[in-house]
Amino acid sequence: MTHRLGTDGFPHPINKVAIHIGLVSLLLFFLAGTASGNNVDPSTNLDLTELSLEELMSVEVTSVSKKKQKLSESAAAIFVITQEDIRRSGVTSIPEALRMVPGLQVARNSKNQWDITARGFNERFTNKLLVLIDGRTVYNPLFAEVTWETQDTILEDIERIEVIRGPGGSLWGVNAVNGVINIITKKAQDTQGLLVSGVAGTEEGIVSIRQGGSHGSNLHYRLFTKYFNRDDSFNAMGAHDDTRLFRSGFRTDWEPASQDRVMVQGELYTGDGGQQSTVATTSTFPFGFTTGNEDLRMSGGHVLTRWEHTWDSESDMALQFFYDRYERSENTIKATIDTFDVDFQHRFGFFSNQELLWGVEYRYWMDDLQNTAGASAFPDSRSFTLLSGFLQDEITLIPDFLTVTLGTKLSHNDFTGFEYQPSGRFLWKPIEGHSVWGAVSRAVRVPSRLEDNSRLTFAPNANTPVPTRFLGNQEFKSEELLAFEVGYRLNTFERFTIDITGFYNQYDNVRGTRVITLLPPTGTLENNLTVDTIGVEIASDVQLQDWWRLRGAYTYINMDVDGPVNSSLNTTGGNTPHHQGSVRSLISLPYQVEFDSWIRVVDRLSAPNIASYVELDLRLGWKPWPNLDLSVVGQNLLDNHHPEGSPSLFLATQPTEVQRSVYGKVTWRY
Amino acid sequence: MPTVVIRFLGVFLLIVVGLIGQPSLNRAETAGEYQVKAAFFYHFANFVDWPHSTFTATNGHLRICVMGQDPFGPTLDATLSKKSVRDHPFEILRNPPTSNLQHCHVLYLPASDSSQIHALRPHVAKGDVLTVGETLEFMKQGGMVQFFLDDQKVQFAVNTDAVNQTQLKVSSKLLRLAKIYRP
Repeated sequence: MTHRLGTDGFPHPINKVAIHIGLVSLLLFFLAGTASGNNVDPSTNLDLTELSLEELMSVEVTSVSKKKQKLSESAAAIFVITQEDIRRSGVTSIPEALRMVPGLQVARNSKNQWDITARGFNERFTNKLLVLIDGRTVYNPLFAEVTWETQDTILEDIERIEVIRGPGGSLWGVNAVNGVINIITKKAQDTQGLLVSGVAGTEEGIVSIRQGGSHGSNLHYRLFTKYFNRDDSFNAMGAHDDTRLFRSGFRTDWEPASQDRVMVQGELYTGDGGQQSTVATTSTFPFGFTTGNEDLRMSGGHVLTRWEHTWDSESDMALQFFYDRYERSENTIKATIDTFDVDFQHRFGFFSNQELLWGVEYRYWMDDLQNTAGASAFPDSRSFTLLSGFLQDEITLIPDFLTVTLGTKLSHNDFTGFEYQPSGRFLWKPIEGHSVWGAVSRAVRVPSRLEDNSRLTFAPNANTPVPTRFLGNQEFKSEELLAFEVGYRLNTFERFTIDITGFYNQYDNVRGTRVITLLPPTGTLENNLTVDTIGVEIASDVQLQDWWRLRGAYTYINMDVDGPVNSSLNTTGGNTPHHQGSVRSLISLPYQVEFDSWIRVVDRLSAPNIASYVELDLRLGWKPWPNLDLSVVGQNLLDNHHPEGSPSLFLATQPTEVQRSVYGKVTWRY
Repeated sequence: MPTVVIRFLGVFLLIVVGLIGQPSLNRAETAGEYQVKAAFFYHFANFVDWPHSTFTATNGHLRICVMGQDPFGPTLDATLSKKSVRDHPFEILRNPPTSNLQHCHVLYLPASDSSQIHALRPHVAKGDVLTVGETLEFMKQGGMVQFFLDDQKVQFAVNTDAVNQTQLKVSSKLLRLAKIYRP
């Protein structure tokens, strides 16, 4: 059932398929609607009238809106970064905050670029991670990567960041192979009033302004604007990676009725950055290259609206639409991408012990590229559709003891046709406060635009010892993963929690390279690698005293890459550290003073050869008045500069080194 | 298997074995918001005295009228249908005609329909009806009892001025637990 695009970029039997799936969904929707109408709340057998009024008033309620799943009750490796974690860690960007999450590999490639992945395969264009901001997929279909440098907002307005390691494939998109990062901003009603925040330091300056307001009692909004200017970091040949970004946006939350919530948000950003690169001047043999500084421009924006309706605590639905515009221009590649996405989800309980969650998503995007000698994709303008549906059934076999979740996602993409991604999970709570979970799942990473049909010309680098031309491969298949996970969580004690996850991942059809001709040196991309990874991730939280808390994280991962020689064997596994550990100490002193420190240890990388490092961040915060926050933060204090990132396969840009920095921050709320 | 993994599996097992026998602490009970609110109606009926004339008989129904879009689903019936207060079994009516509203003992307006209290008040004022709502706006318009959430717990406010305009008698115990609304 594989439908491939011809070089004209036009489809194919998707239209018929789309209509059928559409109809089936509609039918399902009505069936589901009836089901939820007849639904009887299973928990009503609990008689609350037997409680006294005082007791009743001390019962904690779960909101009728989306059932909040307790962390201890998810059968997956979840870590949540709270607003408090963000504030007290002293980070000034979202990627930096991700360094505290076990199981993630975060390396700063330059002032404006990041390598971030979960469970291995780290590089500039990491392609096995799905990132969502308020439900909007932040995905660059050219490289199947996340453009971290443009993902930002006022950090004080982030409610939490949920990180799920492992395949979220049965629920989320087609590149949720190794993990899903869900960035959730606060509701407008939680960001009322004025907030002005300024950061000034040796490496960066940031200004954030937000104004929140309301109209009546059920319409709230906020407007915000943020600007940052980050200066050059270190590189022996000169870094030229300074960057600036200006963004402005809004969010409105309207609750016309207690059961309906409508959220509308939008944002525009524009900025520039720099990099050092070696760019091909001709794509014919012998290739010519020029090395030097270049400037890159990035801009874009989005508008998103989501309507959520709740019938009762057992059933609800959400309908979401977004449009996203992405523009980027640098010497090797100039691209604009427009994405339209509609997403529908519906949840309802039935047979008193089952909860069904299903959804459909339709995405359409079109791009426009300016081909260069360094990087060309064919045709230079193309459009794609992605249609996916998922179905998940959570079965409570024994209440408060054993839950089993079965699900699958079925999607259709223009490169490889239909893909299915099933998963099975269990959660066992032998004793209150202890939970054990396990999962077996299959996930796929679909080809990117450049892998499918392109021509890239590289100067010698870590991947290719001689100048080489790479051609895309229209027979490129999806990378496949079969993942086995087990986990244990302890949260019996208020002062100590621990969360341990172990996994064994088997990847097949992983992207490697193959030489086509030696002269002129020409290679192509091929699904010729198999990779086995094994790893352990631990997160722990210890409240030593009422005023002193420690949060630790440790990650072990080993990647075993197998494939033919000359297939990028080394670089596939070599850019992921075996060991990573971090400890954060949060101390609350009298007079509203906070002293926080964060030590990170990251093992060496073998390809490219990057030494292990230990870094220390310190933060001293003071809140002299309830509406004023002052802090002084030192980051990466142990070295003048240290390297973290690796060069990419696609674009020969020069990674730079992270420098020590010190900054002061003032936040004022009114 | 790498020794690091073995070592961590060992630690893992130790923790499981070591802690499995530990007694667990009592955790705060949780329930659905509207399950809790449904149970509040039971207590309101217990702590409020209606004039005898409002009941059709000594064992006549205590009528709870839900106006607008019902957020309870089946919960309200499930909680109250088999219960009675001082021999008065509960009867739940949804959107009765406005001309009959004076015969309700409790009139509940969900947040989505709070603004309706203004239009319903003249009908309600003909009888002794305890009005219960969800918003501050409801109280400003003369509503008597308001649910609100504080730290994820259901609390309630009472507008004593509005209650005093009726024949209803609210027990001091209820008032002690309530937040008193002052216009």
